[in-house]
Amino acid sequence: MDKVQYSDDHIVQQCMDKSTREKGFRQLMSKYQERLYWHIRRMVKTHEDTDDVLQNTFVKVYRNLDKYRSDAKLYTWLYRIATNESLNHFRKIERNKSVSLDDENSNIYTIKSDNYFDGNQAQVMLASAIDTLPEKQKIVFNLRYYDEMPYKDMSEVLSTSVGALKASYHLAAKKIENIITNES
Amino acid sequence: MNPREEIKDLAPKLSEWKHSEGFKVPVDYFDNLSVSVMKHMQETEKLEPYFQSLPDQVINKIKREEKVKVMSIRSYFKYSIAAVILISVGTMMWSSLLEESTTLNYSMIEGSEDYNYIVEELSMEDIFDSEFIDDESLDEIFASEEGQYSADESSEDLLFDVDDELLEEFL
Repeated sequence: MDKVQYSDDHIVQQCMDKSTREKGFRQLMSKYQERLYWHIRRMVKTHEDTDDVLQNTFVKVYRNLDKYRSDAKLYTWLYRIATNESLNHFRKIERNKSVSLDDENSNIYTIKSDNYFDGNQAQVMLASAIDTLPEKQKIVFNLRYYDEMPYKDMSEVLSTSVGALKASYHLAAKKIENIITNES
Repeated sequence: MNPREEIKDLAPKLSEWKHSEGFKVPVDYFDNLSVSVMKHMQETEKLEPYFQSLPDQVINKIKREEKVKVMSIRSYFKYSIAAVILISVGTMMWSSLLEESTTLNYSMIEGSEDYNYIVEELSMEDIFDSEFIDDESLDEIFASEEGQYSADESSEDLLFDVDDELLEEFL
């Protein structure tokens, strides 16, 4: 059965009214859960961690619906919360395990041990190349390369100027190109 | 610029790769996600309101305890004051009643024909022998205005005007 896709305006309107908030929130989840899931999954890698972060993201969204301002796009607001939750997740791991996020082997090992990953050699190579990028550049690359998000929207998500984002993406793409060219 | 065209310019080799990442999700994961999120939210809400409402609960408890303390102190004072007043009033009433009853007894005797009869007609022997007159009444009679038969006076004083011969004869 096809799910009905409601407009952002309709969802926001439902969410702002306390009597229809839960209904509106379910519509919001239904519309954006997959996009947010993949955005988070590219950062945290394993399904279990992604599930945790995604649930925390939606809980935060629900509790902060009153703070949403309609001058921002709904989906950029959601991406912003999801990104922050993912970064918080990394910080928690860092505190608990004292593992550097720049250690590519630790992340590759995580991907390979994930029951929900069956990528081929090329996909593992690309994942490892992306993991060599600094944290923010990695997010910029993922948003542009995988989500194909316009720079303007990325600017809303990351609170960074369009120019800086373009420069960051160009640098990241060049780095990855070099890695996969050298390794393949 | 379109992202796909952009990547062709920036990283030609990368642009030829598929965008799939090799990640999978459990079957029906997205169908059940909203239920999981709502459940997760309810679970966290069960915990968080406790801490959110804790300061109010503590303040209310403190207020309740202070009220009880004030009430108990007030009650203590109230009952103490009431007891003191009751005791005072009771004592005063008791004293006045005692005084009144003494006065009444005396005045009854003094103003009545019985009194005059006792004082004027009865002899000392009659008075002492009378089983109808109690000791208190006798004291009052002795303490009457003539004063000559006051109960506090010593026997020597009582007999000061009795002739010695008469006394020897009596003894």
